[in-house]
Amino acid sequence: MMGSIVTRYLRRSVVRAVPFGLAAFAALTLTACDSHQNAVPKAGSPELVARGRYLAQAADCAACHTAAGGAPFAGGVKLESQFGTFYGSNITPDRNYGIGKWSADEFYSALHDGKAPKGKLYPAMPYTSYRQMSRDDSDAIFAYLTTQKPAAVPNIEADLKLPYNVRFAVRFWDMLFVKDALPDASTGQSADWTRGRYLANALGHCTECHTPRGAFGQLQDGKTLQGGTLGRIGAPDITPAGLAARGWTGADLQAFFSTGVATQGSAFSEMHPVIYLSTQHLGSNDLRALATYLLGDAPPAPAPLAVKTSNAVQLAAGRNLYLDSCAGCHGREGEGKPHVAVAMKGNSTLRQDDARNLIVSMLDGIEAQQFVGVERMEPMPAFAATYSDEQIAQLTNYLRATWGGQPGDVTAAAVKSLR
Amino acid sequence: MIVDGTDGTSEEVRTCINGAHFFDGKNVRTIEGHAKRNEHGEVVELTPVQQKFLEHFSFQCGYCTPGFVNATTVLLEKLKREPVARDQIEATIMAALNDHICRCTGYVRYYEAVKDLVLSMPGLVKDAA
Repeated sequence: MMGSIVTRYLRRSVVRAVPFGLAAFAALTLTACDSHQNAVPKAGSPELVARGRYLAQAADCAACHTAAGGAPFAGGVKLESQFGTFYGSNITPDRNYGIGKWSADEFYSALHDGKAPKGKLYPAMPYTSYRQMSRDDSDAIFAYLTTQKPAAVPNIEADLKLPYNVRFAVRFWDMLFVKDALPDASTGQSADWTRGRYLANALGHCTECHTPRGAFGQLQDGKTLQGGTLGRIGAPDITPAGLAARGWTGADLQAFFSTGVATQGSAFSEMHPVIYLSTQHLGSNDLRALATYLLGDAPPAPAPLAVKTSNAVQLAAGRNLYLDSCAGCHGREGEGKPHVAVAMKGNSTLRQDDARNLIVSMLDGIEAQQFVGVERMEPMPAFAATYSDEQIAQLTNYLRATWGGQPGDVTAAAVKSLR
Repeated sequence: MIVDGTDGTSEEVRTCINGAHFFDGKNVRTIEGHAKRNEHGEVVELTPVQQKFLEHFSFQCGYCTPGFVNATTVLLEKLKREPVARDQIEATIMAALNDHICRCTGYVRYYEAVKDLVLSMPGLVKDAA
């Protein structure tokens, strides 16, 4: 079962550091980088470092390499998987613990082949995606990282169960599953689409969470971006058809990536840090390119919201529960409340075929979240202790049928299985 | 407000996000129901919590008063059932009141009043510890 070593069924239990100052600074300095044809700046120049910073944000390096309260890029972020626990490594220029002794060649090799000077990396490092990255971009990120403050923070060895801790076996997995190109879920040939493909695949590594995994933890080629279940909250289907079925347009996606909030809802669970640390920093051309790649050059029309009829008794019970505990923030008619709670009407999570994310959100609650600028959402309480399986099912069915265009057929047993 | 369970426990429940119907069939106490009143509805005796808050000058503008009185009442009722070790008193108070916000910055006086209550009321602290 060598392949299982290398999966990225990761649940992040650590909320990441929030570089407010960096965000503002980056917005001022990095818009110049947002171009489809980047001239290669001179080695070590401020332009190269600035471009490297932009690319490091686009590749969301900080998500795994900057721990909450830790020094930037000093590692330590805990990444849980069914195969054991990984920790993001120290990628500051510290000569003992970081990458201070690495060359640009070695850095590229880590991104491209998962090979570090000291040995093979586990694919928790998404080199399956990063191997699409150009050498120029790898060099720019390396140049940027070398300007960071060295942090003498030792790396934490992955704590993996047998037999997944056999590092050399990862090479066999690489031979089987690491490909030079990732499949596309959309079609297109425009400059935006091509740039968007690079942003999504080489940098943003969307596929690592949004593509379902096979038995060996490998990305399933035929199901690219059709939705993954890495954590308790599943990564939704972000194929053109999947997005359109939940009402997403290119403009909505751009708003979502740049602010974390769209008419379809706000980023939560593992997507929240992706917005916060990465996509909010993208320039407008890149935001448009990313949206274009996800939906394709000829985007499907967003599906209108249908109201599903369902068991009237169930719906009435669900409506009562909604008025009891939800309407205070989400609005009597599901309209939401600005800066407090998102709208339920047309909410992307309600429109998912699978009710899992909706049910888990109600059971577990959602932490208060800071978005770009002064935007924030208030915490959502957990209702696991307040309501029975039957009541959560009634609420789920009311929400899905009324505002999600989905059948109200969730059972109490389905809720119980998610507790 | 305070919702009393059927098993002798009590808990705080927020009224801002729960509709009135949520409380249908439940036993509730609001801030108006703490003090004893005579037949004319006039307050004749405060609860120990209210009295201690007055003695410590904890109340300032009054906006957060109901929440702090309810939370402290629930805390004392919990400590009667499950006394706390002496070295855990401060952490226990912090955990019980941490969600309450006072914009007049009266936290220290609230805190001192609650600590005074926990130490002066019999049976809330495990002396052996």
